[in-house]
Amino acid sequence: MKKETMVTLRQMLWIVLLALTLGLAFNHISASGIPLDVTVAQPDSMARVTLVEMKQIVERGSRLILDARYPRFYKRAHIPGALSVPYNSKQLETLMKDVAKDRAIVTYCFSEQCPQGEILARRLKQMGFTDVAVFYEGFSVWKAAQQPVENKVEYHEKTAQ
Amino acid sequence: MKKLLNKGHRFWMEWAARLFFGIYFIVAAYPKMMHPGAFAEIIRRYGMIPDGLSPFVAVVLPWLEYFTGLFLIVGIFHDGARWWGGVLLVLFTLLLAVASVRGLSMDCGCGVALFAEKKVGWSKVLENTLLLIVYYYLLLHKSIKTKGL
Repeated sequence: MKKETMVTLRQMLWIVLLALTLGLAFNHISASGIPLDVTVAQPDSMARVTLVEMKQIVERGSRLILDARYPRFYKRAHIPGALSVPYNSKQLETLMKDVAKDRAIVTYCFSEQCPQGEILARRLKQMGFTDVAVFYEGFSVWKAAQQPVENKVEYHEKTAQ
Repeated sequence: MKKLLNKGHRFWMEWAARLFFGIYFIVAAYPKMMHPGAFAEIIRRYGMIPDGLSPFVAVVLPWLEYFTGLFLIVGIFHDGARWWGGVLLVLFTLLLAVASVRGLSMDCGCGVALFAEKKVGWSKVLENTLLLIVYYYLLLHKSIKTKGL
């Protein structure tokens, strides 16, 4: 093999290694990082709401929609009517204190690869909420399906009313 | 003299192409780097790789694109960056073509679109093909190796 070709191949390898290292490191520290192990999301372990059902929920307001992502993503755009309740919120009990335990709730995050929607749903179940489902396909599929989005900020405190 | 002029033209054309494609790759990579979850979902919907691999590809591929763009502009690892640019363009064009044949209707996950919509379709395939031809002639075919910024 020519020396020039070897140099080019070596450079290509270095670029891949750099992308691999920084990509994985950034994913590890980033708020929007995703689990690389898809089994973490366990898509079938909670009640599932499909895209079609989600459209009906938004139209009819039949479930309380909770956006489990970090507030900065919620502020950019979210499913209409959704309220921001970050999955790791330390004030979850306070935020949900006036919501009836039998109120139908649906949570979501970015996509099936992100665990936040399911984590929030589990926390709500542990708190005693009986009808909690997850829109696993998440915001990315909602947006890809060209459904309306909203960027008006509605704080989660309003869920209590 | 004529040869010198041609080389001079070629130098500037090549330099402009590096700047253009460098910015193109960086702009295309940025939203994917920031939202790997959404990008993983798009990769999954293409259905070309096993679902379990899509998060890994979604995390690494945008960074590969980003460094390709950055190194094209800056001139570090310039031969490697030129070839990665070509490989990525070929790969994206083929993926779009196969998805178009299969009739998928969704966001293409391209990050940037110059003339076409950011959706899977033949207009995006055409755009990528034109870019690939320009890229090949200016940056791969008998390139004269311009220096970085």
